[in-house]
Parts: sequence; C-alpha cells; structure tokens
Amino acid sequence: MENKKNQRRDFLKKAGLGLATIASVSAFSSPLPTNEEKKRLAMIVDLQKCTGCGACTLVCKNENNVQDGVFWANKICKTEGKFPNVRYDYIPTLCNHCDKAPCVKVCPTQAMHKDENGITMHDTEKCVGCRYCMVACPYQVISYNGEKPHKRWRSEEKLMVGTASPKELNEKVGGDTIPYYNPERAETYPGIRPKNVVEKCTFCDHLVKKGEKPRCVQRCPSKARTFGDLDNPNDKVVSLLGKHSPFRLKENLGTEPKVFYIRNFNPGKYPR
Amino acid sequence: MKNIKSIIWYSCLIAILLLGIYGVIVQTIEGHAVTGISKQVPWGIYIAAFTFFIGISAGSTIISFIIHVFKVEHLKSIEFKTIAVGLISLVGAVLFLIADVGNPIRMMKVPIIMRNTSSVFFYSSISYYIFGGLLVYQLVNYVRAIKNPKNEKFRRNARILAIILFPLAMGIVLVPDGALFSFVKAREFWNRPLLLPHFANAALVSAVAVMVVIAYISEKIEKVELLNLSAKVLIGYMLIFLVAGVLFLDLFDILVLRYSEKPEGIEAWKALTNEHLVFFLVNILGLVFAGILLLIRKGREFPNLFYSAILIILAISAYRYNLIIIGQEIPLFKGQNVELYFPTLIEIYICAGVTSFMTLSYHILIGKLKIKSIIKNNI
Ligand code: SF4
Repeated sequence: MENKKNQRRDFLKKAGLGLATIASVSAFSSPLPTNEEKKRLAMIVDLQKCTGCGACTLVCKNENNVQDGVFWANKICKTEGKFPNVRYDYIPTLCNHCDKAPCVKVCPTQAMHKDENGITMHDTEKCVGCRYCMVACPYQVISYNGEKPHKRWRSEEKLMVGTASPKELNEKVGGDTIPYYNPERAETYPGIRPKNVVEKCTFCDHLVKKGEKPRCVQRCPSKARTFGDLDNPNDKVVSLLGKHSPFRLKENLGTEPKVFYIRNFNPGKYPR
Repeated sequence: MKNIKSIIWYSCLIAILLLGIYGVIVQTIEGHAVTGISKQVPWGIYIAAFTFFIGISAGSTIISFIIHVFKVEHLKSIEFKTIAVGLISLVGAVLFLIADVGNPIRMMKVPIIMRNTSSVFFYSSISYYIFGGLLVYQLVNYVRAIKNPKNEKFRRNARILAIILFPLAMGIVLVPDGALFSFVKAREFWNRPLLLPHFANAALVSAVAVMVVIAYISEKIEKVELLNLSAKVLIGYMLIFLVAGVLFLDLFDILVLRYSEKPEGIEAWKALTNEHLVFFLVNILGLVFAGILLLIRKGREFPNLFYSAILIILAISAYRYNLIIIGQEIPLFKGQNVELYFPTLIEIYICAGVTSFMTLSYHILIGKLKIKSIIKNNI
C-alpha cells in the first residue's frame, strides 16, 4: 500500500517536473512576444517647437527610398486672412498607426496588418493594389505607386550635352535604381516598393527593431518629435501626454490614432 | 440592307473593343500613372462604371425573380434576356474592377487564399463567384427548359434558382455597391444611412431601363416583338414607381447637402453646383423628364418608353459618377485644396472597350447559340 503511494508521488513529481520543463522551454522558444516585449509605440509632435522646415519629409524620403511625388511624412498647411492679418497654419502628418486602423479593417488580403508593437505594416507581396485602404484612411497618408518607382533615375536622356544621363550616373555610383539608395530599409520591407501597390510610413520599423527611433524623430532640428511606448509609464511620451493636453486628428472617428499633437498655438484652428 | 447595317454595327463594336485593348496595353506598360487617379481620389471612372454595371446585374436578376415567382405572364418574353443581361453585366463589372486594381491575378485569389473577414471587399468578391456561377447554371437550365418543354425538371430548377438568386442579388447590390462605400467613415459624403436604399433603387430602375432598350432594339432591328402592349404599360408603371423612389431619395440628398452646416456637406454642395453641375443636372433632369414622359399615356408605349429608358440610364450613370468622384474630391481636412478628378483618354478607351465587349458578348450569347429563334418560337 505504502509502496503504491510512493510510486504515485514519484509519478506526480516527475510529471510535474516534466510539465514545468515543457512550459519553460516553450516559453523561451515561443515566436510570439511576451507582454513585456510588446509595445504600443506612439509619436508626439510639439507644435510650438515645429518650425515647419520640412526636414522630416526629406529625411524620411532618404531613409525609406521614397519615390517622386510620394510622401510618407507630409504636412497640412493653410493660409487664412488678408495682409496684414495673415495666419499660416502648419501641421506635420504621417501614418497615425491607429489602434483601430480602418485600412487594416478594409484590406481584403491582410496586406495591411498590425505588428507586435502596434505598428501598421504593409506587405507588398499580398497587396492587390485595390486602394481600398487609401479610400478608408481618414488622414490621406497612404500613397499608390501608379508607375515604376524612381522613373527619372532610369532615364537615358541627358539633361545637358556633355553630362551623364541619370541612368549612367546611377550605374557609376553602383546605386540600386537610385544613387542614394538606403539598403537598411530593405531589412524589414522592400527597399523600393514595386509598381501597382500602395506604401506608407512604417514608423521606421527597421530602426525601431534595433532600438533606434524613427529617422524623422532623430533628425528633427528643433526636436519637436518624441517617440516611445505608451504602455511604459516611465517613457517620455507618457509624461508629455500627462503634462500637456494633447489632441489627435479626427478623434471623433474612433480610429485611436497614435500620433499626438501637443502645445498648439491656436486650439480649434487646427484641422481635426 | 440589313446585312450592311449589321456589318457597320459589328465593325464599330470591334473598333471600340480594339481601342479598349490598346488602352489596357498602355495602362499595363505605363501603370496607373496614365489614369486620372491621385492620392486624394484613388478611385476613378472604373469604379463608377463598376457600380453601374453591378447594379444592372443585380437589378435584372431581381426582375427575373419577379417574373418567375409572381408568374408575370406579360413579361415572360424578356425572362431569358434578364438572365443574359444579369450575367454579362456581372462580367463587365468585374472587368472594370480588374482594370482598376494593380494586380488582377492576385485579386482573383482574394476569396480563396487571402481572407480578411472584416473587409466588405472579401465578402463581395466571394459573392461575385457564387452569383456568376449560379447565373450560368440558371442560363443553362433556361435554355434546356425551352429546348425540352415537356421536361418539367429544368423549369423547376430555373424557378428555384431565381428564388436563390434574389437574396444574392440584393446582397450583391447592397454589399459591394452600398456597403463598400457607406461603411467608409472617412468619407462623410458616402457615410450616410440612405445610401444603401438609394443604391438598390437606382440599380433596379437602371436594370428595367436596360431591358426596355433591349426590347426596343429587338423590335426595330431584329423585328421580334418582345413586349406586347400590356407588358409595355406594366413596365411603364414599374418605371414610374421606381423613378419616383430614386427622385425622392435624390431630393432628400439635395436638401441635406444644401442646408448642411458641416464642412463636408458644404463642399459637396459646392462641387455639385459647380464642377459637377452637368452630371448633377443630367441626374435630376433626366429622371424628371423620364417621369413626365412616362406619366403621359402614350409615354408608356414605344418609342416614348424607349426615350425615357435612355434618359434613366443617363441619369443613373451620372448619379453613380458624381457619388464616387465627389465622395473623394471633398478634402479630408478643412483648408486643404480640392483635387479634381478627370478621366483620361486611356480610361475612356478602356471603359468604351469593356462596354463594347459586353454588347458583343450579348450578341454572341443570343445569336450564335441560336437562342434568338428559340425565343421567337416561344413567344
Ligand atoms: S491596396 Fe493593398 S494594402 Fe490597400 S487595401 Fe488593397 S490590398 Fe490592402
């Protein structure tokens, strides 16, 4: 009797140990990020610091090899009134990486999707180019590649006699389609997106994965942009949001954008 | 003489089709840069045409259901044509969609391997497959039923299919045509509760009008009287009722936009009365004149019935165009510039080509399958 009890105890012990081992091994090898790894990345733009210089637009184009006519980082500006009472409003825009992103909801192929950090990502392989996401996006931050990207850099036409054509120049510097091609971009998303698909800001996910901040945040000369994790109470974005009364674009639509604006000069005047 | 007329007719259709093919080749090589779409207006004339033809497809299937289930003897003669028009319009609508998307091959796979069950587009793409398949089956059954009048099985099948197709047709009108737009919260011009009934009503009225045009052409060119006097009068009353419904909803829209205090409403009214005035007038006046014509006793007979049908088709096309384009031209942010959309020549070539393809397909279906004589014998 006693022997049987001991055997059962041994069995339970071993089974328990086995289960614990399996659980710990699977926890280490799990491809899904744990709660600690998961972030809710967001950006804050300080409108009193922003001078409207457009550096964010330029560095974004360079970083992401964005083609002519397409802007991942953009702006809304409007001039109101007559001289001498003129008012110029400027608000930088980019993909809001909404928590309830309408583009993700409407995309029939799941090409628009959310990554583990809440970044709205796009898969060019799945995209059919239906542009439903563009129609559904309330912020007009998704662009369509209607033609072969960087067409001008493929041209064999010389702009002036005696100079090199864009294509020759490109070949001379060994550029991949464009002489200033940034290969780092291709680590998480095609370096240059093909014809007939859409593209948009990815919060520089290739840099974020290495622990860096998006390029527009790094290069903003007036340090108007702050980037961080909304779920981390010690993050600067959380303290800034607590300190100021932020607003988001078109909050009434319930998309929960993750780009916040603080310290606006003229509340109510900015496009909501 | 008749031969020369048909040679000219077919030559014109083939020439337009070739123009369309040329447009497709240019668009494939150059990309959508040759179209008038932009970041602000990502959907252009292809989508407007898509909504028009998908509406006709669903509308004609609903007419077929009414003929079958309510046994409307007067309209029995156009029963086959409603199925044929339903199928060909569906093919045409899908062709417009293919012209619009960047990667049609991948698009075909949407219902099979690429599933996002939260997207309306996913459900609508499934419904095209199911709806198209059932329409083909319905057509086959119908032809068999005519060829074997003694075999009740085919007639019964056709009746059951007509009943099945009715809710699907409603779904096809309401899901892609309506919900695809009215669910988009970002575009206030679309995001209105009355958009769905407006869509469905416009679809029905345009489908009936297309049937009238076909019947008139059959009578004049093929010398086949598809509709007798009572059928024409019945269709005339149907059109009066449907036109009144669409006009009521149009009037409702006008009042809402005219007195809107929201920036989107003000912009939409501005667009309707300025850049889109011609289409707006064609939409409203076309329906008003068609209604007046139909109310006259002689208006419910040929050729007046035919003229009102043409006015209705023009009015509904203008309505669809304005709806799709204005919905996107209105700036998303106050103070942003209005970006106007104009279809390019390539887009117009492709639209004309697809329409010509549909007309040719209709002729092939009716003529080459020797169905014309079958119907003639049946009447
Ligand atoms: S364009 Fe691409 S990403 Fe956008 S909804 Fe269509 S398939 Fe999805």
